[in-house]
Amino acid sequence: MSKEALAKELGAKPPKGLEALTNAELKRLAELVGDARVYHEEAIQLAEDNVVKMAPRPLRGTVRRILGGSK
Amino acid sequence: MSEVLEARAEVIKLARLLHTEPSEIAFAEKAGSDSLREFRDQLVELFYGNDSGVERFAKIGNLLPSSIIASLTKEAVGPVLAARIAGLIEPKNAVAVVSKLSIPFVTDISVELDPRRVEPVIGALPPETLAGICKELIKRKEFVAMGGFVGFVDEDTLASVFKDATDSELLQIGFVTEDTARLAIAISQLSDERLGSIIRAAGHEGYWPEALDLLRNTSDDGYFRLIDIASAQDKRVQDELVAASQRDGLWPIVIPAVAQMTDPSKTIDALLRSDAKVFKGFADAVAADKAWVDAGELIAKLSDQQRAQFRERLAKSERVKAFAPVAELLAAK
Repeated sequence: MSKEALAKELGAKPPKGLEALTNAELKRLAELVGDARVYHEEAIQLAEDNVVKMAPRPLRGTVRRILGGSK
Repeated sequence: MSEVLEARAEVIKLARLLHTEPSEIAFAEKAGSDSLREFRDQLVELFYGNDSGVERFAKIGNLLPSSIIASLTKEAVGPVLAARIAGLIEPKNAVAVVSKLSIPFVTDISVELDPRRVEPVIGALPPETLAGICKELIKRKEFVAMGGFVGFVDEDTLASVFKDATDSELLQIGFVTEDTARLAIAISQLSDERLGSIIRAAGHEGYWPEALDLLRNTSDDGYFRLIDIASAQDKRVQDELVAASQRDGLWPIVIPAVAQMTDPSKTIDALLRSDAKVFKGFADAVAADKAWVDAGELIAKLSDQQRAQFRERLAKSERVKAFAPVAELLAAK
């Protein structure tokens, strides 16, 4: 079960050697992978919000255009 | 060569990638080093592989003046995204931005870099900036990131960084260094006094796996130099080495090393005064690995008194039969 949880977080099949781990251990790894993925995603999301807001006023239009006008 | 050490080093690298302590995921060692390396590659791809959201930022990085980028990087972008962008923008632009940022902030970025993109970013930085980053990394105990840098820092800078690092810091960096050839060169440039100090630190501070890993990753000359320096250390260090060999499963590295010491008598004495479990562990490791060439070489270097004690310990451990392949050598006067 936890093998599936890890595969889901990874978006790929975990290496065969990880089958030596218990369900609880695989579950712990899946949680850590999920947390680290969120850490990366949140950092990028926060930066998107900040960059346009904090770019020098005359350049804001250019920055917004390059970022795809999403902000 | 040593699966135990490779798996342990992989766990340390994985822990850094997962923002946890190695002890929290020590259970993963049993997956084996190959699977752990593959798992780490999967994680790097998961965290760093999708550039679609980052490329837009990189475009800004290539268009705006470096002073504005530097200020935006620090105030708005933050180290995680900056590290992603750094791998995508022109190295010369990255260098121009970095030169306008403080060393602590550049270090924040360094620990978040995609391990596969360290070279283009780091390799282009001036030596003094690199030395500053390396020293800051070590101060923060970011040994995995430092280990990833070793291959891209010039020899002089690395020598100066290693000179300032403590013995245990150096051992921890060496253990997770990717470019072991560069590490071997840096180690070969250390003085005998420093290597002796490193070996004593391994014993006193519990870093034998890391120290023995240096043996694994050094040139032949470096190997013989290290084992002879180890063989000259005092009784306490020898006892610590023998105890750690049993505790940490390091016999497969220690046995050939002791056999090839010019004068292994001090280490042998430590083995001969070790408790029953340790001696049995040594004997079983020799038999399991069929390390008879090493055992033969070792026995040939024993004094008559040591050889008699060795036979006695084998008898007490009920391992005489197991040592039949070297019985003749053991019987020799």
